[in-house]
Amino acid sequence: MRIFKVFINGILTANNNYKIIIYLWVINFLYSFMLVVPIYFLINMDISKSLMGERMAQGFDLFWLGDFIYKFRHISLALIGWVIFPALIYLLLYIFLNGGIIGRLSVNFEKVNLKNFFSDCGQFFWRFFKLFLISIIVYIIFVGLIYKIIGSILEIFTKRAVTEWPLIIVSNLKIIIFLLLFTIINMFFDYAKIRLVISNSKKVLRETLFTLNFLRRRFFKVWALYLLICLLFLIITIIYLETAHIMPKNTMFFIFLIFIFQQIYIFGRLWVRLIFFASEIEFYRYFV
Amino acid sequence: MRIKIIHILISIFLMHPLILYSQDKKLIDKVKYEIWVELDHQNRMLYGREIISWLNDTEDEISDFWFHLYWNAFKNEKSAVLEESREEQFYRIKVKDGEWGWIDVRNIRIVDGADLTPTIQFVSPDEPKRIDDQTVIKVILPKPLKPGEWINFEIIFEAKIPRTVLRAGYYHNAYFIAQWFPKPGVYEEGKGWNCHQYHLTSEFYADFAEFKVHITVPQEFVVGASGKLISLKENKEKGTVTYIYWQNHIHDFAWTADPDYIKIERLFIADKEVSKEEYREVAKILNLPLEDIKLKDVKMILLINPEHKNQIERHFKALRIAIKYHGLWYGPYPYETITMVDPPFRSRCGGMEYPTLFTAGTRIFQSKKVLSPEGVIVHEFGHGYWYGMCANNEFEEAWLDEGINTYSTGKILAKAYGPSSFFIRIGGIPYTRYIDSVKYYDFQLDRILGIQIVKFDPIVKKSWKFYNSASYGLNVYQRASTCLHTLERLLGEDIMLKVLRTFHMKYRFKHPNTQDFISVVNEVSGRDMRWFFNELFFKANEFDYGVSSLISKKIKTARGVFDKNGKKEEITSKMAKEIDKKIKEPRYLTIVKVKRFGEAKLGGDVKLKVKVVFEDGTEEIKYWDGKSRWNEFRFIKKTKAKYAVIDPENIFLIDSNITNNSLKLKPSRKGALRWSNKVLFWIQNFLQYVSIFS
Ligand SMILES: [Zn+2]
Repeated sequence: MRIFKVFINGILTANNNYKIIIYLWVINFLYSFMLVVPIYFLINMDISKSLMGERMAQGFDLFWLGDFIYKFRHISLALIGWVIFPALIYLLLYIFLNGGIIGRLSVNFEKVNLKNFFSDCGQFFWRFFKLFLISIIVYIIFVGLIYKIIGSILEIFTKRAVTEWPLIIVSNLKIIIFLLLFTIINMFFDYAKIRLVISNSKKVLRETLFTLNFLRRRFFKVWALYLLICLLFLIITIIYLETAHIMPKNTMFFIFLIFIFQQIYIFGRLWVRLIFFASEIEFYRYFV
Repeated sequence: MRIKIIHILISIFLMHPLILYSQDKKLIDKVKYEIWVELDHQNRMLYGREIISWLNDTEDEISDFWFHLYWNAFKNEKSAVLEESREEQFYRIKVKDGEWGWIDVRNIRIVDGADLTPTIQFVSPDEPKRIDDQTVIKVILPKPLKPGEWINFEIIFEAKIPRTVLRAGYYHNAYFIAQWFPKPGVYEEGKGWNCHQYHLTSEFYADFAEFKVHITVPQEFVVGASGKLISLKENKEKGTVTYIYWQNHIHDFAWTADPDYIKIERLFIADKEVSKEEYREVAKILNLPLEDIKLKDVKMILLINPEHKNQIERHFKALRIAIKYHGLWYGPYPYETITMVDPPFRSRCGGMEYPTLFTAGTRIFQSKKVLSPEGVIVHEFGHGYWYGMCANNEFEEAWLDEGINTYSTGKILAKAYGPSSFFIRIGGIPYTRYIDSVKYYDFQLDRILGIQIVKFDPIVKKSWKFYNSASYGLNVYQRASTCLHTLERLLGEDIMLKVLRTFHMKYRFKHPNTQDFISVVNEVSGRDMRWFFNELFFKANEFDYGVSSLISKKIKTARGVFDKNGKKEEITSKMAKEIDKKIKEPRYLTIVKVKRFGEAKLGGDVKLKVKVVFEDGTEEIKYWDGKSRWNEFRFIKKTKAKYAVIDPENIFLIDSNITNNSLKLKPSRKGALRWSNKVLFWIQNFLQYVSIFS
């Protein structure tokens, strides 16, 4: 089984199911939009009738930033709550949506519509929710604990350091270890979800253990596939950042243009998300 | 401090031969130190002996003598520094077991006289009382010291070097030795000893002195110190080297030793660094003869760590810029040497100033777009001009040093380098990509920080008595600097330069206070600016003026009953409309209300400019003294107003709300849209990142 072929097939499957991307985009956009509306009014309240509004339209400026920080210094804690709580709800929402995404991608002969998408969401929600609870424990153990242990082993080198070099090496090493650990765990739970859908089993713990066995036997292949898709995400992000970096943003036309461009990027992200699942399903199917 | 010439003459000839060292005949240091110190690297100890000669240049008879023993701040958790740190929210320092430091006076006597050791007592003069603090001692003299007399002490001391937690100490093989020897406080005529304990948020105060210091270290150590190296003796048998450093007209002495330092010496050649054109330009602004502007050559000594070798040129370039602009603007650098120390890794002594020596600080990876280490080099060198030569009492009025220096650092960095970029450091590597389009000047950053802290403390306050360390820092650095930028905008850049030049040269080698600074401002500007300092330096009041209302309406024909030709005539709504229709050039009434939102008030001859711009492009300018809570201005014009703005040139940088300084008639949503759009995108991405865990 050639990894690259799986990857390409994943892209094709994702493209065939473009409707899912549209559903996900609408949900992401509306959810974010609701969160940003109060921000808009908060900014607009002060700035729309001030010349500072013009400065703000011109770009980032430490004068208006200073005014904002001073004005909103008392609600900074409230802002943290405003970020955390909706994020948790969104996480729950995605546990629900994953059922639809994987459910639809795993039956590639049937056309996606709202009905079958959401009925999949509903069908798999409780299984995925249980899996999510397991995953939290695993994240804590592996990414939290193991990362901490590795960190404290590495600390032996930094503790006695007499130049900055060991710190630079260790902190970069820690970033790499963190990312690798994280990708492995994340990939593992992708396959656990796929297994639950394809085998249509309700025994979450048993299927999770099966997934462990499945991945153990062809670990480097699956991981290479996962990292290849990560690379695609990285490339899309860099293209976005580089282009947005040089785009002017100070007229209404360009504000609109950048808005469109940003939404294309979000589409790109969602597309990559589909490619992850589609390729992983393809890979899983081949071996099971 | 006033020096009585006759006393000095007598003392020169009768009492103190050391005075002949002094190069500057006009200026006599009232304290002379000769210190012999040996570093015991194995045991992390210093063994020292010092001869202190001290002149009573006051009219008082002095019966006791106070000394700082700063290192006892690291002796135990009962010291003021460590207690204050434990009571603090933001600024915690912790000494680990076995890493304490302390200093003991083994013996103190008057040379050829009484042993004062039995009279030693610890004193804690500052509130709140911390009676177990041991950073100040006093001794009782057998007979009072008369005005004009010198006294000579011999002190034997030993000190355990702390693992650095605050400015001085060791890490690995590196030593940074500061605040290390028993040091007299400052005796103030009629007031007594000004000798504060070592506090968490305060720096130092001492008399100008002449130092001769013999430093003995194991031979493998590279040494740097205040002043200039006058000789060096090797002791092959013991494997040590003794360096002798000398400097007059300084009020502190610091040194450092580390076998790993790379030591490089370069010359600042004034004629190469400054063009004739630059000299002429500054001379013209300051209205001074060219010879007063001329700089002297300076020997620059850099002690740098091997891993920062590739930044040697960056260090020297920044130092040359610092010597040049401080010299041109505030007065030529008077000393022969300047030693710049790249603090050894983890030595926690970076970014600190001492006379003719300072510590900078850098990292292995630095971005060329970011002014680091340049900022810290210019800043710490700059302290040599304010704390160093205009030696204010940093315990009591820290802003005179930190505030002025933050201001002057910003001016010099802007002039020599232009704006800086933001960066983020990940894994020790700085990244500026995607955020480097945002450039900023120091004064902008100072304002953001400076306006946040109002209402806690005024800028002028005893350093350890601020609400917390954040209030101390933000007030004496950034808020003071922002006020000085405001002052500059009020007086004009050239006058401000003259103010600082005059202040510096008038108080060079003296101890100025805030009142002295205010006097110079008034004298040089020819204006009474006392109100400015009363409102912004001595009170914790918010400064915020703004436009609170803008109304602009067509003037309509008035309805109602009017007396006309002895008869009553009613103008009805219909009639009024008809009349209005016939008017070819309608007129508009504009009413602008300006308001003082903050407690801080304008004063003196200063008025706020109020500018109203109309739709036809015409402008009206009015002035308001800003003393009342609000004021209004009325205009009758052919067009409606577009917007009104108070302080359109942003002279009052200290205004904590610039947004309310202007008011438009019609709102524009462009700014809010642009940034809400950006926030929308951030939220969309953030949520997608969160969903990875689903
Ligand atoms: Zn400073």
